[in-house]
This record gives sequence, C-alpha cells and structure tokens, in this order.
Amino acid sequence: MTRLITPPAAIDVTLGPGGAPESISGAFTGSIDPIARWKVETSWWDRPVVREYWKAVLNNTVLCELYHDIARNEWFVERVYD
Amino acid sequence: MAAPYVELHSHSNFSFLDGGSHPYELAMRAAELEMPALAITDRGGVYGAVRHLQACRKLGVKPIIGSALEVDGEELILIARNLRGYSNLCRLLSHAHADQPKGEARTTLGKVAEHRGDLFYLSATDIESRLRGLQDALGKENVFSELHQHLRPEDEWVLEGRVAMAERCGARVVATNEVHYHVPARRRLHDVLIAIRHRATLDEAGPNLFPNSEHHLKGGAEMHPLFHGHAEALATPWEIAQECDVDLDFRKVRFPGYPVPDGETPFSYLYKLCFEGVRERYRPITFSVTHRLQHELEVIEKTGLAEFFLINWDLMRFAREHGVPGQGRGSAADSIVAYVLGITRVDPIEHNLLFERFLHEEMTSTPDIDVDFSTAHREQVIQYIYEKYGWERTGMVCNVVTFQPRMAIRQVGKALGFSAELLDRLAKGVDRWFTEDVEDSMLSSVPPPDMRPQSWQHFLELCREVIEFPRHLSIHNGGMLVTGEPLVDIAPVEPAAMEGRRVVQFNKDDVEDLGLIKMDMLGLRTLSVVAEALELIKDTTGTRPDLDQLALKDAAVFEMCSQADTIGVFQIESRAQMQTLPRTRPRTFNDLVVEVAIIRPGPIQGNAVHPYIRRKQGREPVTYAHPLLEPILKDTLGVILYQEQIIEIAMYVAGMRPGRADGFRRAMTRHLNRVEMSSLEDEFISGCLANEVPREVADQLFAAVQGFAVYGFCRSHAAAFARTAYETAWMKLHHPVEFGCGLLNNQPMGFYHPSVLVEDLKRHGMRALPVDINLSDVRCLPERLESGLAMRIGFNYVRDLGEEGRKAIVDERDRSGPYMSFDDYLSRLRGGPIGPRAVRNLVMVGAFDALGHPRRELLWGWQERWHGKGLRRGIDRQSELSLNGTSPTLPTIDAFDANQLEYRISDLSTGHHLIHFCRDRLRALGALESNKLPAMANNKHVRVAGLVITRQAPSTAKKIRFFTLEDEFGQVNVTIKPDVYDRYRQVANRQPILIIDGVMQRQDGVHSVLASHIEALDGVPRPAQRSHDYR
Repeated sequence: MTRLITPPAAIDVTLGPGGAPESISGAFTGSIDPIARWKVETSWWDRPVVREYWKAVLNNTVLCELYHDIARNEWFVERVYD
Repeated sequence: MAAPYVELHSHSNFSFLDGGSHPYELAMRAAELEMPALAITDRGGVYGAVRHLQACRKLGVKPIIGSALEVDGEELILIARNLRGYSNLCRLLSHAHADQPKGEARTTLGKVAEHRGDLFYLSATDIESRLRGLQDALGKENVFSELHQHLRPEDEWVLEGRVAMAERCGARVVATNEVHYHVPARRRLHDVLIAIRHRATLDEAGPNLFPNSEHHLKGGAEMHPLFHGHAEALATPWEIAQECDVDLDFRKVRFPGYPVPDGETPFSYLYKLCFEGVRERYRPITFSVTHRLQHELEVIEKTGLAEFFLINWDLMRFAREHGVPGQGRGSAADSIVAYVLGITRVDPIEHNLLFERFLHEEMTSTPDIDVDFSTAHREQVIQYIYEKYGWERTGMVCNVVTFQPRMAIRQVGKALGFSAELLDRLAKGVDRWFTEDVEDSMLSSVPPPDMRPQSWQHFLELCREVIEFPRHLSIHNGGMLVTGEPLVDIAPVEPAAMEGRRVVQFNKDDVEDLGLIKMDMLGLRTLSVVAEALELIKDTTGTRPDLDQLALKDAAVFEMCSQADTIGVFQIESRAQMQTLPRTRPRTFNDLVVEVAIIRPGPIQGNAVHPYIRRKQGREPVTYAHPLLEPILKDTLGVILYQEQIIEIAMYVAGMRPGRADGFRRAMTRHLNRVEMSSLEDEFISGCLANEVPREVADQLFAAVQGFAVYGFCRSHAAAFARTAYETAWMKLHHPVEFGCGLLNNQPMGFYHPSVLVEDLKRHGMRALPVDINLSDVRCLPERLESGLAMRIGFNYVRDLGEEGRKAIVDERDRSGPYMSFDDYLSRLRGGPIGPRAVRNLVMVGAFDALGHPRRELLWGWQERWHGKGLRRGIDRQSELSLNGTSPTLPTIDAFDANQLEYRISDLSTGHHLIHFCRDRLRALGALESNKLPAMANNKHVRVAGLVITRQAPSTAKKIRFFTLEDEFGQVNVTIKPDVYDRYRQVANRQPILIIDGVMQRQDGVHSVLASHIEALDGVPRPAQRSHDYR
C-alpha cells in the first residue's frame, strides 16, 4: 500500500558526502538509506517544477519517497509505503 | 586509464522538430568535454552529416555518421563503419522513405538485413525475442544493447533488466545518452519543437515531452556516476568509434560518363567541338583567342573535366534544338571554352574575365556552371536530364526550409498557448527582414497586460533561438545531382512532393563540399519575357531581332539607363538601382557590368558603393590602401567590387596559393558561424603581415572582404546578367509595347506589380487597352491603332477566368466569329469551363462595353439565361426567353467605379491612375504631384502622396526604410528614419495610400523625400494590396 502525503510533509535533511540524503528530521525523523533517484523538471513555461526525488528506506523499516525542491531548496516527504 | 566516453546516439536539429541544437553546437560541446568522437544519428536521414563532419574535423573530434530509423515499430540506431557501410545506410534510408508519407521513414528487419554490411546497430529494446532477432539477421558481433539512464523513476530497473537480457543473449552493452540538445538550457526549445510537431500547446503535449533536462550531451564525468557498475557499457562506444572511418569523399565517382563517338575520347571530342565553336563565335579568330582556348583546354585536360563540359554542352544543345531559351551564368562566363560551346553568351576576351575564378589546376571541387532557362521551359530540360542519365543517377538537391521570424512567432507562440489573435497581430507587425533581433522588430507589439512577464520573456528567447533552425525539407529550385555511381550509394533519396521527383538529402553546399556534380538549372522568367517579346516583335515588324548580334553600344540605351528609366529592365529596375544609375551614369557595357555588381549587400556593407560613385564622378581621388592593391582594383577605381578581386587580394596581398585563395573566397561566401569566421580572419591577417602589410590596413581589408559574405558577385556573372540587362533595356526602348506584353504575360516576376508596369507604359505615351470580349486574346498582345502600337490587356488579367476559360473564349471566337451580344456569348459558351464569377467579372471589367449595353443591365437575370432554364421549358433559342417584369433602371457606372472595378478584377488600370480620383482632395491638402518634385530645392519642406508600390528595409541600411509612392504622373522615393517609422509603423505598413510630409533631398540628379510625418488618405476604397515589400 502506498500513501500519498498531501500536502507533502516538510523535513530537514542532512546530506552524505556523495550528496545523497543521509538522515531527516521534522515531520519524519531517522536515518535514510537511498535506493533510487530521479529528476523531474516540468512546466517551465508556467509554474516550474524542478525536483530531485529519492526513494529511500527510513530507519531500516519504512519505504518512502522524498524530494528536494531545487528552486526553493526545501525538502519534503511525498509518499510512504505502508 | 579508463577509456574515454563518446556519444553514439545524438539528434541534431536535422532530426526535424526533434533536435534542439545545430550540428556545430554539438561538435563544439563535444570538444569542450574533450570527447574524442561524436556520432550524428538524425531520424530517417543524414541531412546534417556533412555539417557534422566539417565541424568535428575543425575541432579535432572524430566524426561518426549514422542515423536513427524506425524498424518494425522500434527505433534502431545504425552507425556506418566505412564508406561501404555508409552506402548501405543510404540505400536503406532511401527504401525507408519510398512508400511513406512525406518526411517519414520506416522499414522492416528484413530490409535492414538486405542492406547489412559494415554497419553497427544499437537497440534499446527490452524484448528479448527482438534482440535475438536482430542478432540473427544482422550478426551478433554487430548488434549492441543500448543502455540509458535519464534519471526517470523507472530507468534504474529498466537498465538492470536490459543488462541481464543482453547477458542472456550474449550481446554486448553500450551506454548512450540519447542526446537531443547540447546543453540543458536548450531543453526548453526541444520541448517547444515537440509541441510544434504534435500541433499542440506545451500543456497538451505533456505526455510527449521528456520529464527532465537529462538528454543533453554529457561527458564521461557525468556519465560514470549514472552507470556505476557498468564500466564496459561506457567503454564500448569508444571501441566502436575507433573502428569507424567515413570520409564522404566522392570525387572519384562523380561523373556519369558521357558517350562520345567511336574513336574519340571525351577530351578529343571536346577539343573538336571547341574548334568548331570558335569559328562560329569569332570572326576573325585572333591569336589571343586561340592562345586562351589552348590554355583552358590544357587545364581542363589536367583536371580531368572534359566530361563535365560535354554534359553541359549537351544540355545547351538540347535546349537550343527544342527552342528553350537558356544561358549560362556565374563564373562559367569566365571561360572561353564555355563561350565557344554555346554554354554562355559573354565573350571573356572582350570583357577581360579571369579564367582562374572559374577553374585552375589546383581546384579540388567541381566548377559551377549555373544555367538559366526560361521558366516556361525548364521542366523540359529537367526531364531530359532524368531520361538521359537515368533515374538511378539523378536527383534534385534539397533545400532545408528554416524557421523565419513570422513562422517562429506563430509556432512558438502557439506552443506557449498564446491566443491566435495575439499571434496574428504579432506576426503581421513584425519586420520580417530583421532576423537578428526578433524583439526589436516587435517593438510596437506590447504583450497583453494579463500575461506574465516570464511568459513573454520565454517567448522572445525561444523565437530568437529557433530562427534558422531546420523546419522541413523541400527541393532546391534548380539543383540537380548527376552521378557516376547510383545516387543511392552516395546519399539517401526521398520522394519529393512533386510526382516523379526524387530529392537527395544534401543541400547545395553539402553537394559542393562532397565534390559532386551539381547542375543548377534555374528558371528565369526574364528569359521567357525575352523569348516572347522577340516573337511579338517578329509579328509586328516582320523580323525577329538576333540578340546575339546586338552591338551593346546603343547610346540611347545607356542614356535611358542613366535617367533611371528602367522599370521592367532586368537587374537594374530596383529602387536602389534607380537611385544609383543617375549618379554612375553608365555609358559602356562595362559600366553596366559594374552597375549590376555594385547594388548588392556585399559592396554596400563593405562600404564600396559610395566611394565608387564619388570616384566615378571625379569627386574623390582614386587611392589604394596599399600599393599591392593597385593592379587588382584599377578597373574599379580602387574599390573592391568583384569576387575575382577577392581571390587576387588573397593571393597577392595575403600570400595565399591560388587554390587556397579560391577556397578562402568560397568560404567567405557561405553563412559562417563565429568560430569559422575568426579562423579565416587569422589566416588572412597573418598572411598580410608576412607581406609587410600594416596591421590596420590588413584589418580594413578583411572587413571590406567580409562584406561579401553572402552575395558578392563575380565579374563574369555580372557580365552575363549585364548582357540580359542591356537586351531588355534595348527592347524597352525600341519595342516597348511588345516588351511590355512579354512582362505582363510572365508574371509574377521582377520588381514591380503589373499595375506599375502598365502605368510606366502609359507615362511613355503608349496606350493600354482594356479587356474586350472580341479583341482580347488569352494573353496581352500588341494591337495596331492609327496612332501606333498599343497593348491590349488579355484574358489572363481577368480574375477567376482560368486558363481553360481564356482558351474557350478565344477558340470559340476563332471557330464561329465575333460575339454579337452578351446573350450570344452566353449561348455559345454555356456548359464550358467558365464559372459564374468569371462571367460576372468579364461584364464588370467592361469586356462587353463595346457591344453597347450598360454593365449592370447585362447582369440583370443573367444567371437564369446562363443556366439555360429557358431550354428546359422547351424554348429553343435563349433570346426568346423573357423574364417576369422588366429590368429596373440601374445607376450607370461612372469613371471612378470603372477604375475600381478594373483594379479589383484585373489588378491594374488601363484608364486613370487611382490617385487621379483623389487629386482634388490631395491638392486641397497641399500634396504635390510627383512630376513637380524635381523643381523643388534641396531641404525644402514638401508634402507628397501616392499609392505605396514598394516598401524596403535593407539589412545593410541601419533600419532605415525606403518606400516608393506612385501617382498618375510618376513615382516618389521616400526615406524613413527609424524614429519616424516607429511612430507611424502601423499606418506605414498597412495603408495603401499615404500622405507624407518631409524634406526634399537632392544629390547628383537623384531626389527623395526624408519623411517626418505619415498619415493615410481615408475614405478611398482599398485596392488589393499591391506593394512589393522586401529586404
């Protein structure tokens, strides 16, 4: 089951040496183990969306998706896999 | 050390509407990334291959040639290993286009297998059976599984799946980035192009757009982290690239072979033909003639070009035998061989023309022989070439249509979701001549208040970027390729829109760079005019003039030219020419050659026109920037006017060898990018410095030479054109009616609208007679009156009549005599190819006036009579039909109405000029008649008015506009500076009759008005827009 978090939950992120997220705090807290990454850049002609997504395992137990809103330099958790 | 990463899958903008960068931009980016090789793999073709090859070579990047092709519904990348692989690719691409809608290419694996050999294949399929199928058909060692990682959500597991599949199949893997633009910022333009391709807005095109900007050209540093754990996939592209070597040198296979009589070789046959020809052309044959001929034949023998001349001789022979008017132009006129073979009509000895501009021993490309044929007959010539050399070895050269400002505005704007109404306003308001700055040319266009500034900014930036981008393929006007080997081994061939035509995927520059033979056969309507006028002169005088025997010395002809009385005269009728002729006052044929050559962007930009004129008039001393220039520029008073002079400057001032000097000259005539131009400049300047030419002189010289970048004329070309200019001027002077008929019957052509040509004829005292049902012919013809010859307007100037309709009227008249009444006409032509609108137009233009009935009465109830309703009621003769009630009394048509009708239906006036009917109002407003202007002093304030007949915005004139107004007495030239134009732009651009206030400017017998205020004359019904607007 996957749960879309609306609105996405704001978090703070600590990055590892390679630039990938290592741990998060805020609405969700704990260590982060990234397993996939992708980028979305769309709607530049209207309201630009520029995000880097990570699929990651939180605290070794929960799979979630977080993204970095590059324009605003803010991080959010968007989806949790229950 | 790790193998370098090279990109094997990249689309330039020659993947029409699917590539966001020019080939040279991709090559430059590859060089910046220190990528040792780069492939070009455009969709369905190799359109950009030659540019890619040249750009890569200049930058030290190894060029790889390939293509992306749809095979059984999936994309396959094909990379050529060598020339044989390239030929296989060309054949395959030709097949793939053959039965598809225009611009599309698709094929089957079977066909790909038929043309396998020396090709590598990259497939991004995820279907194992397909990969195995490719391997079976094409060879396991040649097929690679293509891996991508574009940071899409699914990319990671797709990649792993593909790796596993490849391992099971024993296929090697190769990483590519499926590149569609050179840098991430270009992604926006790519999105817009996709939207345009799908005829959608960006919002609507959503699913077809890439989700991010990862399809840019990436170097190893970016690719390695993406393919972590797949080092082999990153190294394989370089292994493949190292095995590829395609140089596209077709010099050895270029000639189709010309069949010569038994016992002759091509050269011996050429020799024989030349000495036969020399006896025709020269009487007596002097030593300089034989000496020159001998020299040229030696060079031709050494360069192996005998067959090339025979092919062209044969073409002209065919043309002459079939009555097709034609003549060679361009640098071929430098050659006495071309002259005695009848290919050209200019004597190179008499006109001191440089053979080496046309051909020299070091020449590595084929010389150009361009031939103009009468437009009406050109098709015959093209068919002859196809039949003589075979369809396999012949094709038309392509022309790539590129985005120009108005198209860019409409299509980019539509993609951004702008309203049709806004785009219409923007597109119509733009000065189409200024491609350098689209924003500037839309200055008066303000974005709607509710539009976000960001959207407007996107729009302007994208329009700027897309200008000159390839849009689609079309056929070059007259370029035909004729090859020794089958054409499909040299370049892919596609069906053209015109039936029976095939078009090659290379344009004229590509063809020249590849060393192939291109025959340029252009349709020149002037030749049709000349041919027709000569026949008409024969009809009116009994003798057909032999233009080849014209002495080129008629003082009256030169005086007419010096007075700028040149409307209708080939090459010297433009506004710019007419403003220069009274100042240069040509008195000899050579003066005319200069005149044809100088009114070009080249000399004007190189600051050559004004110094030449000043020197010709003796107002300025003839000086040379350096003594080395004197022998080169003596004939043109120290000013560079000819391409030949550029060659000589490159040789004698910059120290280049003849072959390099000609290459330098050729490079300067192309559209070069910044990098290429800068490299040429360095070469030129350092050569000058080595010759002890001071730096500032060398810089000055290069700038002058640079001005010839696109349109500079070669002297021989100018001479060939000057010959036709002289001949048309001669005909205009001595046979104005016949010449005028020729002009009117071969429109559209030339500089002026037909109505202007008729006004000019009238101003010279000749009469133009209106359309008459019994006196007009299918076309305009001379008619003898007591007072002399007049021009009878033909049925070709009745709107909606059509060719069949015109013929029907005349044929029936020839068969059964003149039409006695309107009803007689209706009954004889009912059921024929003339529709009701055409009938109405004939009546309203006055074709039946001579038969005595008012026009409006004729039309009362005519449709019933036309459709023969009377006959259905059993009435035999139409004239017995009686209508219910009598026709009412209808208002008669007055002179103004008749004038308006004639303009509307024939687009001209045989009676008064339109302005005649406004004269009272204009006089009341203080506007001067055009014939009063010559008496006005310099700097006097004047008001002028007239119909706008030309609007010009030359790119070399710093955004100054030039308009020409016409009234019943003549023409007025108006100069409009940018600030004035900006203030009155809408009125100036759109209104047909203008009233202009300004200041008189006189110089050397030429006058114009410098505008300060522009308004329209209101209340006059608009004639159809007939102004000639151009750059």
